[in-house]
Amino acid sequence: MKSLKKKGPDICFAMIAAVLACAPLMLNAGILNSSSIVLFLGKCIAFAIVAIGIDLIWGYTGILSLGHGLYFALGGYCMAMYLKLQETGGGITDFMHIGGMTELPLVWRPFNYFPVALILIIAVPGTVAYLIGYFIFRNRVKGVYFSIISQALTWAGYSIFIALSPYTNGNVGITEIKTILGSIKGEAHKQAMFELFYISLAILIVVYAAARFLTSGKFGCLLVAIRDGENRTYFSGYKVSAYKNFIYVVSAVTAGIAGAVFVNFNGSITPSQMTISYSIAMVIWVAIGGRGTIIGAVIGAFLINLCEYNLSSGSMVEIWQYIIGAAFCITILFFKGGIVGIITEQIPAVAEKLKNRKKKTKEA
Amino acid sequence: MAVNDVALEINNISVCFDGFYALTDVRTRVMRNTVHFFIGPNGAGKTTLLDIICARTKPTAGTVIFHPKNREPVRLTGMKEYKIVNEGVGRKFQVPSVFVNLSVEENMILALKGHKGIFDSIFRKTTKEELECIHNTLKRVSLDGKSGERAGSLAHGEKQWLEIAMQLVSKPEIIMLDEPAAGMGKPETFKTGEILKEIKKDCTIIVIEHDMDFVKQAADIVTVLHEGKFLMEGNVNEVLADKTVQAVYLGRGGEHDA
Repeated sequence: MKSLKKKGPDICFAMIAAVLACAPLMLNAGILNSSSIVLFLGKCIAFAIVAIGIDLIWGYTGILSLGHGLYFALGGYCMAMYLKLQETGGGITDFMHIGGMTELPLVWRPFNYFPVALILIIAVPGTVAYLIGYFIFRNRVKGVYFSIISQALTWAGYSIFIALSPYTNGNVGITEIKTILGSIKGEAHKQAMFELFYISLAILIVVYAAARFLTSGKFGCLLVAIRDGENRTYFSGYKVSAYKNFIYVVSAVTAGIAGAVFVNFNGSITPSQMTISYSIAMVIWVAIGGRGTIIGAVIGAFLINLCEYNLSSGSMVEIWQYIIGAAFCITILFFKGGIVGIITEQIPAVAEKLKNRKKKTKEA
Repeated sequence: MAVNDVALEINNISVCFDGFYALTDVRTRVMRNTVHFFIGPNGAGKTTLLDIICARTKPTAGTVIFHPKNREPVRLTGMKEYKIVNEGVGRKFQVPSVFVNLSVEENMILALKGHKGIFDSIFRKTTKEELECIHNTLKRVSLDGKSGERAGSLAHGEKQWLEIAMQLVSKPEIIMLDEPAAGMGKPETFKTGEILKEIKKDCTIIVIEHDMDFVKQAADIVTVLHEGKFLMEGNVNEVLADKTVQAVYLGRGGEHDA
């Protein structure tokens, strides 16, 4: 029983990964009727990756960031800039023309090279998070104040990207881009789409494994210790601010990677990925799935997005936002552990009660 | 009492909270390998004094100097709290503050001496010797059967024990205990006293306590504070015999029985 509790999350994750791996096969066999569902699952993989990052910082360390959309979009833009340049062959884009530029701006140039672009996908969100985190955590800003600052930051990012429209194409964002494997639209490019899907799945597995490794040992204990008693952790001799900054950077980098995966499947990136509501949606996935358990973040991201995909297209489109809001409130008020908490704690507790009652009636 | 030199110097400490002097010009010396008690009525400034030593509160004036064994003296005032801990000055708070969502053993692992950096925390495995040391320390406070339990599920007294054990396993040179016997029964309090007497061979212990029997049992030196001022210092009998001490402290409706 104990080993099941320990291995349960990993088994569950293996099952999710296996089902995902089957999706392209099911499409080939005709069980799934449209390739858009595979594309959508690819986006869900990206969402699951960013959810893991948020779970690390919120579920484990207790720092509620409402601005992870910023890092998600930064990673996404880095990827999109590379992909756009692939299309133009290193030349300037339409929107730069309209913006009055005659040659490729300096900030775009590194994105001509794939390895550099890959490094920047990690380095840009990481550096931004490090600088922001350094000042915030060193000054021991915490709790709701941190959440407010994180919101303001993503809003600032949103405004900057719109203001710099000759570089970023403002509101419209970088659109009509192909993937790293070329076009995936249409029957002819099905193979490329499958390959892309499996690459993304592999990234998700690696991110999951890394997060499990981080949270299983002493480091994981420390994150929980910081969440439950920050002062006490300082008085155990740990430089808590450095730990917080480290995990903040890790989660920002995770979000950046997720953004890069997302762009491939979405075909565009816009500043709307940087909005506060988008960032809060990510937090809701983690809360409903179950914070403080990596698997909970993955479950939440898939479940909510799949529900949204199926429900928000039909007659439910108008009330979907209310449903998700209500689900979030109910989770926070009554089921702190989310779905994972219901399965691992609430249901066993109820079962135990029933057992005891049966025993009592038998004795009576 | 082989080496009986100074471990901690408290020099003319004053603290002012918005015009209210919580401590005024307090100075004393804590000798190495002794159990040094600070007593005094409520509001005397005992906890504030500990807060200053471990840098939870900044003093308005004065300095605290720590004399580590075989090393140069260290000025604690103005240092960050986690650095003070790593210098070897540990603190147990009045309210038990163990990490409730971690197991007893995990609490102890976090308290181990050294290896407090991020990369050590991620990649370094806890060694066999360290685990053995944890096990032995838990045995000492009769918690060895509960190492896998959530610390939050322990009883109040057990949490106190766990905190003391966490201090012991971090092998500090000075341990500061804020009311270690609070919430303990007579036999447990006695046992705490015996443990203090035993561990003073390896380190210096500063204790705040109200329980007079406990003070009599374990104290080498007692410092009495009153309304933020140093009142007197001496061994237990001297202090208890003093008329002023009786007037300000013992005369206050039997606080020592509490």
